[in-house]
Amino acid sequence: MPYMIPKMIDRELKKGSAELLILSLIEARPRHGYEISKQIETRSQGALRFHVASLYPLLYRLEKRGWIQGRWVEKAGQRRRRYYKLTSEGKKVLAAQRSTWETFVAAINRITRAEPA
Amino acid sequence: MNATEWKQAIRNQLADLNLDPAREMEIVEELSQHMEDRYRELLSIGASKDEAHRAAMAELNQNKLLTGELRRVERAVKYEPVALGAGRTNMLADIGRDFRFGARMIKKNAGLAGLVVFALALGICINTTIFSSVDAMVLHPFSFSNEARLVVLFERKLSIGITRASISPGNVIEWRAQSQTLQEIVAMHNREYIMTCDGSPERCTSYAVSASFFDTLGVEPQLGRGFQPGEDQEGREQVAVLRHAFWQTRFGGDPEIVGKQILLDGKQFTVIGVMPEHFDFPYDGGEMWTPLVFGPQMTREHSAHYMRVLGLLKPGVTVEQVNADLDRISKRIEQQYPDGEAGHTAVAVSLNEWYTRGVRVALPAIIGSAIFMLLIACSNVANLLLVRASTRRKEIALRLAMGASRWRLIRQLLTESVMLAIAGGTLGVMMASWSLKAIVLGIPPGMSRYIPGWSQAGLNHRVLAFTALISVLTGVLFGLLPALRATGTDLNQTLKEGSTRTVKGGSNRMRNALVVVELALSLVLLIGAGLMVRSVIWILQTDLGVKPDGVVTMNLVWPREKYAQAQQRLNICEQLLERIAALPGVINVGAVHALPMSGKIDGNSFQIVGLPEFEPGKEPHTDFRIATPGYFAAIGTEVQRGRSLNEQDTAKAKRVLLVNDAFAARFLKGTEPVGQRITMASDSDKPLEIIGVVANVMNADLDDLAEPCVYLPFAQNPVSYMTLVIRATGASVEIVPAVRRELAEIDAGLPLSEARLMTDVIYERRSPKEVMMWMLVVLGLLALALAAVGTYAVMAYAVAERTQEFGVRIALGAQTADILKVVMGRGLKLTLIGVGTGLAGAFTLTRALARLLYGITPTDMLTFAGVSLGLAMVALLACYIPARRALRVDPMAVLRCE
Repeated sequence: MPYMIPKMIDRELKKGSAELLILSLIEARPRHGYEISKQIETRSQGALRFHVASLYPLLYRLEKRGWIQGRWVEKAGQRRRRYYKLTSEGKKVLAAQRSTWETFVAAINRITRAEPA
Repeated sequence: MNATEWKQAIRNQLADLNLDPAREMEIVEELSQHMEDRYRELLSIGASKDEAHRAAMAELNQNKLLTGELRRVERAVKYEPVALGAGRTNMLADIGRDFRFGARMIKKNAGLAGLVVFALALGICINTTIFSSVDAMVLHPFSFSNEARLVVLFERKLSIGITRASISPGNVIEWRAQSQTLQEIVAMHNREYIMTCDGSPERCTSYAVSASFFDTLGVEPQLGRGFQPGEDQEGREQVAVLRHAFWQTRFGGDPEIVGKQILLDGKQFTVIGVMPEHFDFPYDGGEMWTPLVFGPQMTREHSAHYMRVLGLLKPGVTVEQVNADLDRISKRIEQQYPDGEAGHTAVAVSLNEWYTRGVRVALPAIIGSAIFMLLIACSNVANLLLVRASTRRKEIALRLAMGASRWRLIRQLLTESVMLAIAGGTLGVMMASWSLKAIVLGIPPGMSRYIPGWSQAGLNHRVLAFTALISVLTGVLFGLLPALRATGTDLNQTLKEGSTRTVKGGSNRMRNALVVVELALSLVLLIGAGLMVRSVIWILQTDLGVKPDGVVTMNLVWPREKYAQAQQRLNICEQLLERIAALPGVINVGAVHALPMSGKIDGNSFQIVGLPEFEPGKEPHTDFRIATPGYFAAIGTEVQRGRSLNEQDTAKAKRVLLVNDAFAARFLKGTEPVGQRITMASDSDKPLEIIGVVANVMNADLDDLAEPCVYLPFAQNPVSYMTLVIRATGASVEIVPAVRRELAEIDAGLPLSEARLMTDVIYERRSPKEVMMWMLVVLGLLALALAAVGTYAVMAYAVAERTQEFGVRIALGAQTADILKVVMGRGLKLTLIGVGTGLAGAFTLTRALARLLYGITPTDMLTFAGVSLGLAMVALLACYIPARRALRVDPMAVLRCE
């Protein structure tokens, strides 16, 4: 897929989906903050980018709610980093948010697709 | 850009958020890693260092997004974290945090904290107990509202050494008429009655007092009323106010007692009131108060001086002004009545000063002991706090390194000290409350005569305020020094030190100095105690001039109306003594009008026949007793020369007397006393021949055998009250019912009272000195215990500090003796300095005990040496125990830790 110049995604859209993005990215395995931001940028092909000033407050909010859990991990030959993983509560929230998002996107798609002549 | 710079940039962003320092550190670390990764990423895609730095910083500083978002998410700490030393403070929140932190620290080291609290509680308990006692005994011994304006009046005859004498009735009248400085003058005199109530007679003592007595003192009865003006006039005087204890024991606390009639000497008296429980003035064993009537003869009486008198100062008048007034009046009286009042002057002494004079003698020693105990306790506390601060050196250094201000840490440490001091003060007050109750219960009842207010000793608001003040002051003063020391540390050095490296220098010197202070103060207290113990032993072993074992005494009074004639009294006394002598077990029996060592004595001036007469006003003075022939054998006083009184010394026979050794030595030195004659001032035309010399008898204060005394025969001086003295085998009190039966057979209306063993009479006199002795012994032993604990704590810490050193020494071949020498050597040095300092102090300070000591000097060498040796041994034992611990150090374990 060619690397696209990042487009300005509407701020409100980004805000509404940010939690879903983070929860889904750490569903498979724990990740640290920088990795999460790189995954978002890469997988969105640059369309979405979370900088340090917005990413970490969000991570801390999710941690406070108990949807994710942060832990300092020191791997051999590396600095210690803070990895975040999904909690069981977070899994339920992810499933619910995912379902809501899919329903919402399907509804938007049905409305915005060109009508057959 | 390195990690440190990213961290600082992030911290700047977070500065306004007031986050918990631990949380802030976490966020800073996490974000700085992200920033570094981002910076590297930008460099990797071709940006220059400056461009990468700018881009990364732009993302961080993006419209203050980070600060805003984190403010919504993270909880601000409500107080300034000490470790980061932020500029703003919230005083109340800080203090609250200090208390919570202090409580955690105290709990963490509960053992040491417990020692501190206990040492402080002990010092505060003793001070509170002593202050309460001094408050009750000296400062506020009375509950009279007019106490501050009351004075006791005395006559004086300084030319013959009489400084405090009773007053003649005539003088009472003259002073009332002429005084310009006294609002009221109240006369008091004990009166013996035979009280008949519900049929059975009994003897009772009444305080015969002026009608204004209760109003002058400013006391109100608990029931009924006091005397009204005019009730001390002839015809209106048949009223009585009862003492509380008498009302309880004799009348069962009858709530309807007011208005009841009692018979006193056959006359009807109406009970008009009952006084409150603790009111017993003038403390002479009286059961009631009755009006003192001045008959026509008494108003002109200037020769017999037997009244006790109180005065109430006019508002604004001082005691000095009263004395000047009395001088003026005395001169006038002397001119009017030269026969009875020549050379007599008058003096006024404040009521408080007079009645607390016995305790005031001991006051410097009592207060000194209390202060010493507090200083010892505080030295102990300071030492323990220093040890505690030393164990927290690293923690304090770390906090200082992390930005806490020194003042903030000092405040924190002081808060902990104040908390310990408040705990110690609270415990001390509780212990003092128990101690005071125990003391009041344990004091012999008779002692309240000498120390009014004793029974009321207890905690009051003055005492509690005093205790609260010394608690907080102790916490601040003795916590300040360790706090200053602990926070003045060299941070770099402290943080680099191993955990058990010895810290030399100021901290050690301070602890050593405090141990020396404790040992020195303890030694002074112990020496004081030792001197008192030896003094009391001297009193116990001294020949009193009587042999009290097996002797019973009882008081007998002849009512004036029924036994107005001298012959009547003589007959009764003779019959009774004969009957008692015939009882089984009785060895000797006699009677005397003033029992030795009972506090009762009479005196008179005299002339020696054949020698030039003394000028009027300059006659010598002697005590005198009136006795029956069997008295000296019964009481056990030796007749040394001549003969004793016998049945031939009747009213019609030659007038005779015996003198004691002190009289002969002072007034008849170099001559043979037997056969010489003297005349007494009260009967100057009837010379008395000396028929014998008896041994001296100890005075009432148990400190002087050298007071002259003469003995007159009862047959020639038949007074209306005598004390029977009966020497019997076995348990002497068993004789009392038999004696009562014998008297009842002679006259059923004549009771006997105050049956006491002579040993109890002497004990009552001796007990204040024994109480003082026990007080100093207990304080001394407590001081010793505290000093031992303080010494042990310092030595134990010193050994713990040097554990590694000892391990290395032992590993290098040091023997037991070498280690002991190191540890004990230090302990011995401290002990010797402490004992030496204490001895120097004791030489100076024990002089305060001089007036309390008998038969021993304040610098008695045997006491000084013995006590010093004892203290040194205890101190060395306190050093030996931790020294043994040093011997058990495992060098391998110590070296592994190194």
